[in-house]
Amino acid sequence: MSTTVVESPLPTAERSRPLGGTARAFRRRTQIIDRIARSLISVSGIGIICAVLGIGVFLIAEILPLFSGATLHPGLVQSALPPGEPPQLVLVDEHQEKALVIGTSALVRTVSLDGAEPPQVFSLDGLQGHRITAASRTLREETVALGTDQGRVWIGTVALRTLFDGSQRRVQPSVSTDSVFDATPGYRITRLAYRATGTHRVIAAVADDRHLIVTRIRVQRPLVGPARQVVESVRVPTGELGTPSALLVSEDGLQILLGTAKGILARWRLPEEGAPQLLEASPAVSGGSLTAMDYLLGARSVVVGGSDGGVATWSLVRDEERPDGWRLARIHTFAAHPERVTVIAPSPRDKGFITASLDGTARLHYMTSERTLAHFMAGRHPVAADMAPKTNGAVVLSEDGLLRHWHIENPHPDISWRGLFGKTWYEGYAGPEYIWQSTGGTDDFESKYSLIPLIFGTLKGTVYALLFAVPLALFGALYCSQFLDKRWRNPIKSTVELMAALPSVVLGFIAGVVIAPLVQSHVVAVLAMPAIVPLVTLGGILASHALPWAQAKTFARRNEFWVLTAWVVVGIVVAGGLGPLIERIGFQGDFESWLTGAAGLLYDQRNSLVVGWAMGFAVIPVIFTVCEDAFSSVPRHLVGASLACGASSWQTAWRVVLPAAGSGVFSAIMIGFGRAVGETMIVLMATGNTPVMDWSLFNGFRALSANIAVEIPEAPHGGTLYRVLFVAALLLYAMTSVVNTAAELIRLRLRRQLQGL
Amino acid sequence: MKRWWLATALVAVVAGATRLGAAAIMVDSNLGMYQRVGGISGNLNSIGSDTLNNLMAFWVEGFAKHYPNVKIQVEGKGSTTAPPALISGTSQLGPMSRPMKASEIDAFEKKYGYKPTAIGVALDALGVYVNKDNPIQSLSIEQVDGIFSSTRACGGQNIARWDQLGLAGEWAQPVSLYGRNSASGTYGYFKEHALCKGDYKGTVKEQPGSATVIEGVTNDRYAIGYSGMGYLTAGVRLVPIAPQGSTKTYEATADNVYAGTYPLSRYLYIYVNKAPGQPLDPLVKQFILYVLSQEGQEVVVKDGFVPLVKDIVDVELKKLE
Repeated sequence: MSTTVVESPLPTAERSRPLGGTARAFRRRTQIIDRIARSLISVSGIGIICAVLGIGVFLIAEILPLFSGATLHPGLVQSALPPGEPPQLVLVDEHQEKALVIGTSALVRTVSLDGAEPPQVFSLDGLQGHRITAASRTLREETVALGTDQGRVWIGTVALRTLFDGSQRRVQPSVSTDSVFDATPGYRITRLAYRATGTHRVIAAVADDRHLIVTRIRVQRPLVGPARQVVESVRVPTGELGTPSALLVSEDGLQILLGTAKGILARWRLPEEGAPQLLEASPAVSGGSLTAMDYLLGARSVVVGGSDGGVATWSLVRDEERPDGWRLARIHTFAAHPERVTVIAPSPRDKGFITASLDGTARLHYMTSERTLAHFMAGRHPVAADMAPKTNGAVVLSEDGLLRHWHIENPHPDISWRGLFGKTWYEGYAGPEYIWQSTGGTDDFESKYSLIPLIFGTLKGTVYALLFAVPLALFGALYCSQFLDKRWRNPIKSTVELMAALPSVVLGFIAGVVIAPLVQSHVVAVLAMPAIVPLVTLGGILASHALPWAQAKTFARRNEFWVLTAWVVVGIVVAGGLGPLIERIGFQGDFESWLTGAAGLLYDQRNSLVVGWAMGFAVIPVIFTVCEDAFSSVPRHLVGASLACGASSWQTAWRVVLPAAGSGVFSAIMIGFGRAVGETMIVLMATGNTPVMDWSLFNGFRALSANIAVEIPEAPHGGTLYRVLFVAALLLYAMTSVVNTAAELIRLRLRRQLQGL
Repeated sequence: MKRWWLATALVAVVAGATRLGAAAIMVDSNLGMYQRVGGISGNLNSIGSDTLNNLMAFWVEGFAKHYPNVKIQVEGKGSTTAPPALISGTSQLGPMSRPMKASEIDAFEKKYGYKPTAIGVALDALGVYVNKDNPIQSLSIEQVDGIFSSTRACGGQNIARWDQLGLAGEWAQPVSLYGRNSASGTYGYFKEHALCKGDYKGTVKEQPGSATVIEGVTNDRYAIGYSGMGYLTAGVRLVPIAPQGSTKTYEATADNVYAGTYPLSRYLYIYVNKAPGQPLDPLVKQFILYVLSQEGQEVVVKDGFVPLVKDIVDVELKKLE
């Protein structure tokens, strides 16, 4: 048997010798560097994921305070009135140092809320021998009206003022009498409502719990002679509506709101001359009487409390069928108290209010968000209450003369999930709606924070942008990678990528200032272009079939690009020229009025057509680049095989390349979607930021991103608007995260499916 | 600021001025010229109203002629940006075209313990502008409310087309609305006085500045917008306004502002941080004195607004002590 010896190629010495010193050191160094690189890359990768999640966590942390309730810190409980003297009125100053209390005797008492200073007493002129039985005070005003058991009305100033002695701050009571007169002599005034306008004063009084007397004092200044006061008094018959139990005079002094013992809420008009006219009467409390009523800040809504403990807010809403164009509607209902509501104290700063009932349960509510923010105990049978001017405190006086005081922390009462995402009934509106109108110039403005119009606007802008961008970018990329002469591919790609470098603020500015007026004057031409340009281009190419001398030149690959560009330009010019003709024939000469007449749509100069074009301009480069790369990386052997089987270029592109690059195309569209959702400056400058909720191409919209940009400079740090803008940011974050993650998962799945090819 | 101060101003104007005409507004010659003082240096920041932007720029320029080494930066994005900047100390001057809201005053008081000081520096007639070709004669407040508001709290009807206001023929078109954004004091003032505290329609296009509102109305034939009277250009015209409940219309002129008859007259303010019982920062005080002097009020006229008269200036000067 012979053994074949195979010559080893390596010299023996090298084969048997183990790895030497330098090689081992090199190998160890490589391993260490490898390990360091791996951990560095892992840390960076995990760090990126943590940073992105951290943004989400930070956004949620900024939002959470929105949904916390109110906290109440009880202060001292002190006796403010001598026993046996039921209270009538209480008010507290803005620094919560003192409170003023009026009982049935004609005296004003100051009470120091922290017990530091002794009480002071002031007497009221003109009320000797009378006992005070009713009181009326208007929010944010110093004037107080008091009614007595003999029908006298006292009007004057009762206030707590802040004075500075150099830099020392003091709270000083101020009491002065304005006028005293007998409104209902011989009758006891049980309820009183007073309002002074620039021209006259209205005093509405309920005498003996039965009669409603309205007195008006007007100052007449004749051309000759001294000014004189004209006093007219009229009895308003309440008849079958029931005996009056709660009373208010409107802000303009021309209307009376009355609550009756039958639970009816009625509204009267006080004309210049003549008897008051009943405008409307609606049942407000079923099966009981209306026990307490007061205006909220702004005097557009009233809080109504009933003998069944129910609490609701009513507001004047537009109703064209009514004689005066308005009607009272119940816009919010709150959880009921166990017993009848005895006192309502509105907030002088916002739409909040406190209600307290006979058993001493008291609640802090907020009207717009329909939230009850705090429950607390106010002592048996509260009679009078006041909320501090900065809404950071409250005092309640109960029948036994005890004064209770609380400090209130209530950072965000005006927000609830329903307010952000559902329909809310705001005062002055005919029904619940989605509204975004976050600020006004005055304190009594009801901020409207619905995010639905903004989400709708973001989606509208994105849809129109993608509608414009996706066909252009997709087919442009297909043409560029499959049909275009190789010489042109790189310059074109570079130019399109340069488009992406254009600052979006420039795009927005040009779109808003230059393009929008241009489109408005050539609307029909612009709308007809997608139809006319392809037709003209196709027609031109087909026509050149007929000319034999042109054939060779036209279809030479290197000239194709120029010929097509020329025909596209001709198509645009033809569309521009045909525009006025089509307008005259098809739309009776004026597209805009046709639009209003036939379709009921208004044409706005800054509309989605212009914005869609501008946003498309920003999104096209992104989609184009990714699609082009996807198409070009389809394996050459697939394309070659298809062409070899006899398919034309178009059939290859449409049926082989496009499906093969499917995952890349999908990913490109999703990236484009993410870009369009987050686009801020173009939307800001080219739309009018109008929060409308319809899909019309011819009006604007208000997107979440542009809204944040517009409103954040003026949102007070830590305030409600500030946090609502963070909710908007969280929504954008969630939208893009979800879309990108889903897109990536689908893309990977598609790629795995196509891997086998 | 109470409207009756304007009535006092009317008496002063009628007694003193002889050349007050519709074409040329003259500054009250009783206002003193500004006297330069020594020892003034430093930097100032002004953050606030867009309506006062041009005024502040002119005032800074004039002030720099007296004190070349003082640098003042002006930023005007809207009145609502003024209170937070004053509170955080980022700015020393807070121009605003509306008075501060109680919540803004509270936030200031929470930080410093006293309320901010408002100095009235000029008068403005907030104008309702239409395209120069628009033939509309006048509008009442109820009509303006019906055009701009969705809740129509002034009591008018909803107006969406120019033919509802009596224009015919080619003017029977929908009204295109331009306004300011919510950071603007002009937005808040218009909402309070022209919309009777109601809400704007959702179709009012929000523009970032006073001049862009005018630019929008110039380019859009069927447009209507609101902005300060100092922004009048050749492409737009001002519409005379009738107050609520009246049929007598008033133009946006200096006379009508002094008389208090133009319904959308307002003060323009600069808010400063002045502790009670302590003097105002010298640089800020000199700037305000400059603004309230004859030179400063001539700048007001140059920019197209209405200057203050001596009686009002005296009241404002007392606040600086």
